[in-house]
Amino acid sequence: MEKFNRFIKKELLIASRSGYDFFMPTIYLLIIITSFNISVSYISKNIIIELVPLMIWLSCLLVCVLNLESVFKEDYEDGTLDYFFTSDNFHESFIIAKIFSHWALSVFPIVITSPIIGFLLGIDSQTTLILFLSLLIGTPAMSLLGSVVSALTLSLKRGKILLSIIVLPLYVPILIFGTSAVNNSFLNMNFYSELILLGIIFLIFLLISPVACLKSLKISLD
Amino acid sequence: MLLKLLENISPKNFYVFVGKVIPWTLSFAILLITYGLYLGLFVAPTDYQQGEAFRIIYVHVPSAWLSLFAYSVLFASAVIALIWRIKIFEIIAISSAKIGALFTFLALVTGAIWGKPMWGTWWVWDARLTSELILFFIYLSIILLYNSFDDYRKGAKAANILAVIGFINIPIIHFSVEWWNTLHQGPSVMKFSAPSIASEMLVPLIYTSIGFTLYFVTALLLSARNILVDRERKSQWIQSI
Repeated sequence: MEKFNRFIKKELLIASRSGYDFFMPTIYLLIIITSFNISVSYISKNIIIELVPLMIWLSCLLVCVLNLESVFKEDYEDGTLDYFFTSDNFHESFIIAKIFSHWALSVFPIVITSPIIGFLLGIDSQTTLILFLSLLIGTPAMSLLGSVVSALTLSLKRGKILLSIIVLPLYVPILIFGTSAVNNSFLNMNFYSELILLGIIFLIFLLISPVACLKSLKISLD
Repeated sequence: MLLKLLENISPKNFYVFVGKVIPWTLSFAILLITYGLYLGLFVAPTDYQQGEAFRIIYVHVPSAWLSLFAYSVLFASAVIALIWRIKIFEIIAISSAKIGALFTFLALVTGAIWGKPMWGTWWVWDARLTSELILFFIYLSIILLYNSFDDYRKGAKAANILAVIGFINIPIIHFSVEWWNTLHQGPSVMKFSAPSIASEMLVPLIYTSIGFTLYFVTALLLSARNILVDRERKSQWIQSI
């Protein structure tokens, strides 16, 4: 546990010194949502207001997918991973700390800003809350699953598109439950079961992905 | 008996073993498929609701079954390859992924061909169709991941891990897609509630299913043998054959 805290502290320190990285996902999200709204602006206004929460969810998912490449990339390039691999520090705790700090630094900003964007675009307050909650449960699950794939494609030169190809089909359940929860809340229907299912998916990946990550990193590193 | 079979997992013995097995599986596959198709296309009665178009199920259902069966073979050999590092199973896993992708594609295409006269469209966002499509994407991503490594053993290991993750994920995907479908789209086109099939229609289906499975085994072994020979090109036992 102490090691875990130390890893996280290190990551946060690096992030705090490097400056503007923290804002990039948010700006990217804003741009995607703007383009979405431009592209659907021909449809009648009533339909668009129904689309807004779903659109925000999908945009968050896309930002998450684009972020994934950087989970282990820097550590791979500067040799930190090799160092951990040869020392006995290389454990699941390192990986969980890595994934958690990546989530906190490059996904959590989106989780905070997207309800604000939703609110500004005119969603009611309950749906905004559910949007926030479903993203809060759903995005860690995405980070956990995605970091395994990111570890698998780490040593590849043209890994970026491949990463999205691999990850997007696997994200379908999370996308379905997230959008379903938001949509149900918009239509004043029951949304608890979706949130619980998202939580279950999160727990499943929390169990699997550190082990799978370790295995994949070992393959990428040899 | 089992030990005798286990001897066949060394590359050389596998080559010989495949040579012995293939004539049998291939001939039975051809026999069963032709007999099943004959029964299905000429003997089975016309469906009173769907007319002659229903006869495509004799290709469609076996392909759909094999798309799942190939994934189980892929998963089993991926697990074996990851635990015991047996070279042959890495090769079997990747050839199973390739053939499984082909069968999934075949299932999707025959489904679309059947759907055009029945539903009026090529594609419907129905639960089963969507999960089959996602299965197809997962197959493709496994094959792409395998091929993008320079070192084939590294690629095989990465693809095996992805196969295992996909196997864990597939039930979740299936469940979620069913959930999504029942909530979003009224069952307007698939409303006929699974009519129990008549035995004259079912028997040919069983024949073609077994025949297709045998064909799958044949194709799997052939493809595995090709990959094996391609990789071991420079080894001694290949030179001696």
